[in-house]
Amino acid sequence: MTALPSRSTAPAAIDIRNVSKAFAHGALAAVADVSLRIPAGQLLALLGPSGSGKTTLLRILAGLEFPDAGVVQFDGVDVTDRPARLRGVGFVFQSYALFRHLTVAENIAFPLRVRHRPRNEIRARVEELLVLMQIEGLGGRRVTQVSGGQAQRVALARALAPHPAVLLLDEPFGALDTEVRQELREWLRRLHDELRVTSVLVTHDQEEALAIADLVAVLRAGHLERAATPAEIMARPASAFVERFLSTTRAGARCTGTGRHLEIAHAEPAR
Amino acid sequence: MSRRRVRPTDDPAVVRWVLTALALGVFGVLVGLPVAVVVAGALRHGVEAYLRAITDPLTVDALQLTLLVVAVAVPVNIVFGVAAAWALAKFDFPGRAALITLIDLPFAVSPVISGLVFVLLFGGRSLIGPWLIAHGWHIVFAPAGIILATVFVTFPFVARELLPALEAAGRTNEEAALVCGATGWQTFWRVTLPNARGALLAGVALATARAAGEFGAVSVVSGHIRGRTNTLPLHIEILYNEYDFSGALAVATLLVALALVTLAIRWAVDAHAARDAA
Amino acid sequence: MRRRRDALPGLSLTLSLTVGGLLLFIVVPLTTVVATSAHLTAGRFWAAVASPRAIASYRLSFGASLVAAAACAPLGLLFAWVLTRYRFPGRRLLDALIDLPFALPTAVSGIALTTVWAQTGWLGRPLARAGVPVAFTAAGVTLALIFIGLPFVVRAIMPVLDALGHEPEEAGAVLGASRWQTLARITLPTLLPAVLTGVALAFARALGEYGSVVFIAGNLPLRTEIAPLLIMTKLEEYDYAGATAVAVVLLAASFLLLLVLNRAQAWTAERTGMTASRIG
Repeated sequence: MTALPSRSTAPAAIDIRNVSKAFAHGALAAVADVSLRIPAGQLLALLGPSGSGKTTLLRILAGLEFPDAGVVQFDGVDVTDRPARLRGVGFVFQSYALFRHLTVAENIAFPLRVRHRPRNEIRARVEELLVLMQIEGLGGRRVTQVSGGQAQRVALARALAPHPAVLLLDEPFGALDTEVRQELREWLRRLHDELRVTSVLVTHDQEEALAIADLVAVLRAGHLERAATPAEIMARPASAFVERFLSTTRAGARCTGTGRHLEIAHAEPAR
Repeated sequence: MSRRRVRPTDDPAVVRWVLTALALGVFGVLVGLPVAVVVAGALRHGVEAYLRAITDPLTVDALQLTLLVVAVAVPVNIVFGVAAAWALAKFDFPGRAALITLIDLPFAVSPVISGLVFVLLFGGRSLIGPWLIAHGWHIVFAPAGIILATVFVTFPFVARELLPALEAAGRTNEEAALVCGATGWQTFWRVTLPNARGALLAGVALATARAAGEFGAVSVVSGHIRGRTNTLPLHIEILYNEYDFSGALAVATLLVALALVTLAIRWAVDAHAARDAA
Repeated sequence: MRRRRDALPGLSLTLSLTVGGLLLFIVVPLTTVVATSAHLTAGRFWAAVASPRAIASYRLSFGASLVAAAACAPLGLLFAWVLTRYRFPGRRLLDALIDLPFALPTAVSGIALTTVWAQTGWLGRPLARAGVPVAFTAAGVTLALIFIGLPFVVRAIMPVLDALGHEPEEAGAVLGASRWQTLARITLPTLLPAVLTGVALAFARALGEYGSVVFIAGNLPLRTEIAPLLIMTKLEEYDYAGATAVAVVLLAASFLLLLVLNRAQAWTAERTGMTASRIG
């Protein structure tokens, strides 16, 4: 067993090698032979239409799913079979998955409590995170009594509490309305620059991916189509799919501010 | 005042009145009256006679056996129900639907048959019965048989209340706990159970009421040995058959009270869940 | 290829407990009934199963259960409708107390019902004078079974009615249907599977019911003796073979009902789109 990180941990480089995962007894390939390297401290966006396997890949990184084939390494150490709780990752769920029976502060303290950290260390860390997330004063509230944007910050604080080497975010802004989205997105980017924790963010929103990520990986039907910096991808899409997929962004970007943007982005690009 | 407008889905006031009155009337006659009669009959000879009936040594003996049955059957039910709900709600595997049907089985079996099976299994004419009796292990016509029959009839209660609650919660909470670094046990105790404690409490209350009140199955295996194998419901039957009606009804009020407490717990749990959802 | 595994622990432990518990406490005991009856010769089995006394008890048990379950359908609809659609003082109390027949020990229900409906009882006396004796007749058996079955039907309908909401009826009204047309063509057909599920549950419970019936039934062989009581009587006469044979008949009916119920519940889910959330 590996010691659990609790003090500041150096960000880890992530190596994904030939990872495949099928559901429904092999009939449906969710992730097919994906290889990807994420340098330490970078923010990668996994981009693709729904059903492209991006969430499955994220869950494989977290240890919530296990690949049928392939290897996942953190800083050169094989973690493929390591259970979720020993991976030292923070995970922000699409629905936040806050514990409804606990307060905001108790939610943030949860990862430290289960690690049996001393009480005063827990209190200090929770205070620190409440300040960092700009939700001071909400610690005593029930999680059912905070807004969507605030719940998002609580989920992020809980994920960051044990100083994870890797931060994983599944459609973190999916449930928020456009204005809050924009604001939180920029704030997350600044936060990442401050913390430099290796982060992987799943999104179906091309604009979002290109706006905040250091690297963008485009997935299609379980295959990795392209992985590069936003600038490179925009300059040379490298495949017809990526180009089509991105062109919907440009089309979508023109009607930003309406709900349609989201729907266009969600749909499979026209053939 | 403007003319009263009626929404198309609102029943006219007359219909509302008639139907509500009808429902209250039917309930009053069918359910309310019998319960009122129990209380009235129990107190017919005064409070003193009532207290004498429920503190009678034979009643106290029956109460003790009932408590013993509850103390064994309910924990067994909790362990099994929690395990079954976890396996069936959080995982999908071949045979899952068949297992749920099997758990429901005691609901569908006549209480008399639930008792009969243990007489056939452990009675004097069964395969292992004579051997057990020769070694001093009395199951049929003894407390052990009553406990076994009660475990059988109460088997589905906790599982049946917990399963929908755990299923509705999905498994995201558990996954969140795991990536937070919690072990399986920590996840269960700190996340799953606190979120399902209402359903668990309701299941325990129902199992307790049924365990204390089971009659048919227990009647078959008990052999009615006074002071040895009488539970409260069996004691009520004996008093009733001896024409001690007020005594029977007095003891019955104890079980009526237990049933009302059970419903109150369930009601509070539902109200709490509804408030949480809002 | 690696062995498939699940991030969530505990399946093997909890599944072993579940299967072990079921085998030990449910499957093995129930199998003894069938195994014991298999020891009987066909002739003896048939003599026990098809004796006039047994046939009369099936007729009463199945007949009274069927009538009671059917009577629970309109009553269940009435209570479910009033409880979900109307607001009146005491509604929440009625909502909680509707389960009382389910929570009350059957022996208590039995003597309570008998006290009310016997020839000397509050309601039994006037009825008996009017020439309609209830207690110690098939009517008394049916009454007890309605009492026992009602919560099952109400609780089967209520969640469906609640989830249905007002919208389908509003749609009906907007489309020009009258109130009656809307109720008859939209609301009732949607509720039908739930009503039938409730009725089947009430029937299943009624068929095996013992405690609440024996006090009010009178228990005369061939007249007011229900099948579970016949099993009991045969056991008291140490006629284990006869008791087992009748039990097998009742058990077979229960199994059949359980299968029908599973289908009915699937149908309800299909018709209303109300399924317990599946694991993603």
